[in-house]
Amino acid sequence: MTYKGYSLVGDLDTNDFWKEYMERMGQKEKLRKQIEADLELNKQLFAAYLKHSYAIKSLSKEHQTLSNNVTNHFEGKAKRALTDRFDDNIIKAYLLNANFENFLKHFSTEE
Amino acid sequence: MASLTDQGASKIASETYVRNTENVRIELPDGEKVTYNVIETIEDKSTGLHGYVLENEITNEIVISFEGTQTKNGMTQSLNDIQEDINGIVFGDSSYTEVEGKSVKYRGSPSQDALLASGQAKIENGKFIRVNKNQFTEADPVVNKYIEEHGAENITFVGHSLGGALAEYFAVKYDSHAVSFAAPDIYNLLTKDQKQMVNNGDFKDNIISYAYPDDLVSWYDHNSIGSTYFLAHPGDAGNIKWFNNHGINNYTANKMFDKDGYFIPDLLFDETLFGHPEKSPLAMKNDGMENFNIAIKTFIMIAFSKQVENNANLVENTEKALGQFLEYYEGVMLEMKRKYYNLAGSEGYDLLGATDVDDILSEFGTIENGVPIIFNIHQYEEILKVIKELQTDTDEIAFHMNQMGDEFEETDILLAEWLAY
Repeated sequence: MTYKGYSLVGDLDTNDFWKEYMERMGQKEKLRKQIEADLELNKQLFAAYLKHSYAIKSLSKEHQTLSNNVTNHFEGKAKRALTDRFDDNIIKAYLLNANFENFLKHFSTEE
Repeated sequence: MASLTDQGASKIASETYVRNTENVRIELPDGEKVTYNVIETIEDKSTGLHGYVLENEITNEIVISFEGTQTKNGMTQSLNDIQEDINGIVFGDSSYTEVEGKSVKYRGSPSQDALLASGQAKIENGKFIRVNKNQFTEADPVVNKYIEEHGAENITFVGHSLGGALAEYFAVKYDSHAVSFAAPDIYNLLTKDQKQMVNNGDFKDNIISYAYPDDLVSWYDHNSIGSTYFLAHPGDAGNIKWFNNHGINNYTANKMFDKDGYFIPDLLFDETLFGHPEKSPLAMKNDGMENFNIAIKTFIMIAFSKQVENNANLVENTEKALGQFLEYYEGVMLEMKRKYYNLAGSEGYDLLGATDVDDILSEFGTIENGVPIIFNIHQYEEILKVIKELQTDTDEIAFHMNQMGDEFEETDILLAEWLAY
């Protein structure tokens, strides 16, 4: 007796479905990886856009120096008014920096 | 050249350390030469007083210069002398400059006799009187003579270190002019009335002091008698002060002066606003500008407000650019989505369709306007909101600082009233 090969048994349509399903899943996984790689590249673009747009990183420090310089000269009401304004502005700019840095992490490509 | 320049003053202060000088020649960067001839040497060996009375060869302007602390006897001696200057001048009081102290009854006590023997006291009409003998008391008769001859208005006192203190002191005493370098604080040596005048700002135009912020001598218990300008940013000096920048050679290098012989404005810093003046204060004074001190502060205030204005513009630009980020983001993501829509169904992906692409994209973030949002949209909106607020208050600060600059003179008077000067 010589070997005569496989005989197809059972539901032939079901077998085709699974074959096609597995192949489709394979294609989908390949596409997911490609999209994921593209997204990583896009993240770099978004991070670059954001960093380039954010031109006020040094504002809190600069305004702190200015505030010190100006209020050095004044006393009384003028000093208090200006210091209060500057303080509020400096804190706002400082917290904004922290929030922005945190926001940039969404576009980090590091795992 | 009609008037004494910064370069001329620093050269004269420097040359006053040299004995038997007959004249001081100043060559300005533009090649112009100015000569001040010595018309009298001021000298008192017992107190170490040394100075010159000089006259401008062309304008006949009188400059009286005083030597500062001796530095030629080595650093240790120099430091001792400087410390003596500080102890005598900074910690002294107005009696230091009076020739005679209060008279008391002579009791013949050993301490009174010791003072009499050392020449530090005398007996007059049976009264024991302490006698002050220092460079201030010994210089005064000579100074007085020239004040009588030429008028206080026509004399400028110049000096470095202790010499600067003498220059400032006589400018206050005779309501004259002074240019000093690295001078110790003489406020305590002044009388109550003179202190009041200093507090009123009466000498701001007449007495110009130059100093380094890290010079211990100039900064020890610092009170400005007139207007002080630093040759480095006071904020960079830190808290450690020493003598490294104390020498007169720190004020004489040619590269420090413009073509007219005045300090380059970018080298100078206003003592309170820490900004650069538009021109050297002495140049402004010699140009006939009154209240140049206020003009300098106005210029600096306006420069500061411009800086805040620029920052307000930066905030506005940031707000605009970040506001457009979402549009940019959606554009890039839609482009990517279109690319994969086209890819689905083609070779290698023939079993896939647009829904599969949507399916995959939705794994990366919530779908908004057809694209996945991979960041926290609320955080983004909060950032935009704060930037808007920041822009409003930066604008307001710039506006008020601008006004303060424009109305500096009035503001200064108002502030002086508040301070009850």
